[in-house]
Amino acid sequence: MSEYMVSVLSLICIESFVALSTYLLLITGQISFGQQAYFGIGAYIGAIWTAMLGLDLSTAILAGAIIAGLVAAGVGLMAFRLGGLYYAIATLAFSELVRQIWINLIYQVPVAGFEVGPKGAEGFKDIRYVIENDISAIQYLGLIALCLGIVLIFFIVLERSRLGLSLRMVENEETAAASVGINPVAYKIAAAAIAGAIAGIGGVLFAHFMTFIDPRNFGVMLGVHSLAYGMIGGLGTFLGPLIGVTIDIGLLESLRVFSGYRMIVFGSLVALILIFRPRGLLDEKTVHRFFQWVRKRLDNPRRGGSLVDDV
Amino acid sequence: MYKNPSSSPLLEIEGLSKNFGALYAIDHLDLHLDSDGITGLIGPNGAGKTTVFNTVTGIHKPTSGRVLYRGLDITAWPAHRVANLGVARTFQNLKIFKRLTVLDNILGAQTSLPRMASWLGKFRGKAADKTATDAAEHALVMVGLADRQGSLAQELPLGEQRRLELARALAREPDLLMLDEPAGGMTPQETEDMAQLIEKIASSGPSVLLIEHKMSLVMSLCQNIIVLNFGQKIAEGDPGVVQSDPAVREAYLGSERDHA
Amino acid sequence: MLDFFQNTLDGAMVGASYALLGLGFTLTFGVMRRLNLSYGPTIMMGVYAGTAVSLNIYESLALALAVSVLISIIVGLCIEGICFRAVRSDNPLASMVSAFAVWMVLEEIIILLTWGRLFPVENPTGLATLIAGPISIRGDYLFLFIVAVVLMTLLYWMLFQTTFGRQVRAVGENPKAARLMGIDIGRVSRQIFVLTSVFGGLVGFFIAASMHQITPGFGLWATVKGLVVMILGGIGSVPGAVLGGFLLGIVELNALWYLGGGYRDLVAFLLLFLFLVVRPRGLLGTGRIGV
Repeated sequence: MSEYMVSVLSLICIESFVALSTYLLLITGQISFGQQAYFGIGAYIGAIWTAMLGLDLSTAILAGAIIAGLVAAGVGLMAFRLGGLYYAIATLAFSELVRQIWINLIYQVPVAGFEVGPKGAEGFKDIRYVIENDISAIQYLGLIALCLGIVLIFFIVLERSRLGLSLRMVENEETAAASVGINPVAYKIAAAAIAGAIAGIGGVLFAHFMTFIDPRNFGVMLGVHSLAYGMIGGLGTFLGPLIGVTIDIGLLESLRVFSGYRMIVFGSLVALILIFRPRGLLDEKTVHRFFQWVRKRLDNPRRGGSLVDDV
Repeated sequence: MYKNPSSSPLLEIEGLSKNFGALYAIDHLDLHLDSDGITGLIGPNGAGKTTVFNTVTGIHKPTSGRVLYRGLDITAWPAHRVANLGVARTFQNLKIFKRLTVLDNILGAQTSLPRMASWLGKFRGKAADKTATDAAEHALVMVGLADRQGSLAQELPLGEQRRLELARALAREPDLLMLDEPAGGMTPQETEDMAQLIEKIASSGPSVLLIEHKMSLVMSLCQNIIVLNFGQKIAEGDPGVVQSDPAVREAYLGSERDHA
Repeated sequence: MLDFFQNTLDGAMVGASYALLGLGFTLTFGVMRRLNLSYGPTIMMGVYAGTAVSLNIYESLALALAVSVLISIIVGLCIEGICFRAVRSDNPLASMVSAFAVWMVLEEIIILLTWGRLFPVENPTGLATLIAGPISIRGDYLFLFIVAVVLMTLLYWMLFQTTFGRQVRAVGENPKAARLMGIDIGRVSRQIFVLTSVFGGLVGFFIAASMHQITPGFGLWATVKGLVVMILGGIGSVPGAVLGGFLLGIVELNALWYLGGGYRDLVAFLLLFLFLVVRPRGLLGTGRIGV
């Protein structure tokens, strides 16, 4: 694999964490513009953990996930009452608030003769864990893929579990969900916390992939992009946001044909898809059709999904 | 599930009021529900029937007054806690889980669903746990939707959506089943089927509290009828008593005059 | 105390322009029940066009303003068509994301056309700073303030004295009833896009003039300011948006003075977040409108 390929794949995987984080909230009925806040928290925590405290990366990932998850739970606790648009803007406000804190945060300590730490708008440089430990780009991609794999397993289990069903019930019809014994508040806050943790893991990996981060990495554009990934990929399955990321970064950024026009192509594509498929390519209906088709094939293996039965 | 076989009535409402701004939807309402079988809650438009449902089931917080369920004070409890006591309901304006399958609508509502569904089970549209699926299928058979369990709820016609919502409430195995206009928007034939269904359900266990505008349905189904007007109880009794009550006639005629 | 007074005065003058951005959001949202994230970029397109004409073709304030307004209207109507009319209205999120997608396209077009350079926008009024004892009033702020107040007065008149205004308010109160009364909601929506584009284009130009430049980041800036003001004032409330604009301006400039440049936006977002958590209906909103 070429170096370029490895770097594009790494970026796709890292971006997937934020997209999945936003998606988890979407299927609970919460529109978040602000998952980049937890991505950023993960990145800064991770950087502080390895570069300033000299601890290792695996615990950094854990710490990033836990702290981002806790902060997200706190925000969820404050904002769960807000419906729809209000919640969306609250998440936007919070994420910009966090970014402003990064812009104003200057705290450096000497490590091996260098001043290391966040330096306000200039960012946090020299997150050298990967270089110092001789981890090659492809090995690091393996680590990212491993973490993403764990998150994906979580989603696979989620979509087959009572928890996942309950989340979607809250999204479909909150009042009715409560009337069948589901506590919508608890599920919303749980979803917010898990979503925060997922974005946090992505952030830790991002910081060590880039080796330097600055507050501009965590702007509102990232949040709205990850929202768009879920919206165009589809809200019926967790593969939706992954498709969204792959289209944007994999196809548009890496295909040189579009260089310089990526935003225009992607933006037009998003606008177009939303006109014809307001819940994305793999929406609930499509996913449902797919499962029905598989079911037919399983029931009638020889006839291969005949048109006659099951009408 | 909370069970209390003692003498406390199933549902007691004491001096319950609920206002939205200056408008009193219910005004110092007292209600007792202890009979088995089907009780009708009727009244002209805007009499406060749905507000009674919403206040009892925790969707609205009452302005004042108390709600007791089997002697337990559940005033202003959140909706999910009331539901977990064994109170199930349907909604006047239909609140089904549109983008879920019919079967998932029921499975998600069950009190004893296993945490995980099996792999193959999902592909085949069946949950792993036989008892959960059986119970869900039983509820669907009861309302006549057994052959639609793989459809998305939003694909059903209105009449079937109403029956789906009813099946979802049944899946909760409730002691008190509150139905808010279960025959709303239905054809006469569908209404007739719904009446038989409600009768069958009531005979199988839960007490039913029924809001309905179609008088023929209420008069034929209910042993006891409570009449509301302007958020207050104006009459109660069996269909014969209620029909001949002058206050009831006045309420309905008066409201018809308003409509004209 | 004097500093505070000076900051508050400056803040009120800047806040008047914020108020107009907030009005743009709240009016569109009131009529459409959907959020037009692309309002800021719409204005940006107008201001860029106006500035480009004035820089390269013929230097005239009137011409620059006319081009700015015209391009804002065209872009506004395109957004209405692509992101709102063409996208099903039962899914407000789709429109929101679609508006954002169009925003990306617009921003990229500007970057391609200008090679990412910022355009200088000259202060067209040439007003000097007025000094009144210990208080000074910046000429461009004063001019911005006057323009904003004139536009707000016009807007008030339109909303509360004309048939069009009655229709807008009827749709905002209750779209179903408005439709039953024979109001063409699609037409009112297009009209509101034109109207918000007109005053957005005008006030946007003067905001850019007071900053002496316009950059591709202007769209984001204007959208964020407008959103903040709309929430502070209360969604759907016209007087609320005006009040919210002043509040934001005053708080920002005081934060700038007492805490430093880095805290201007921090305090603004903190204010927004606290408002949402503690008083989501804002200063004057009814809190009845969800998405």
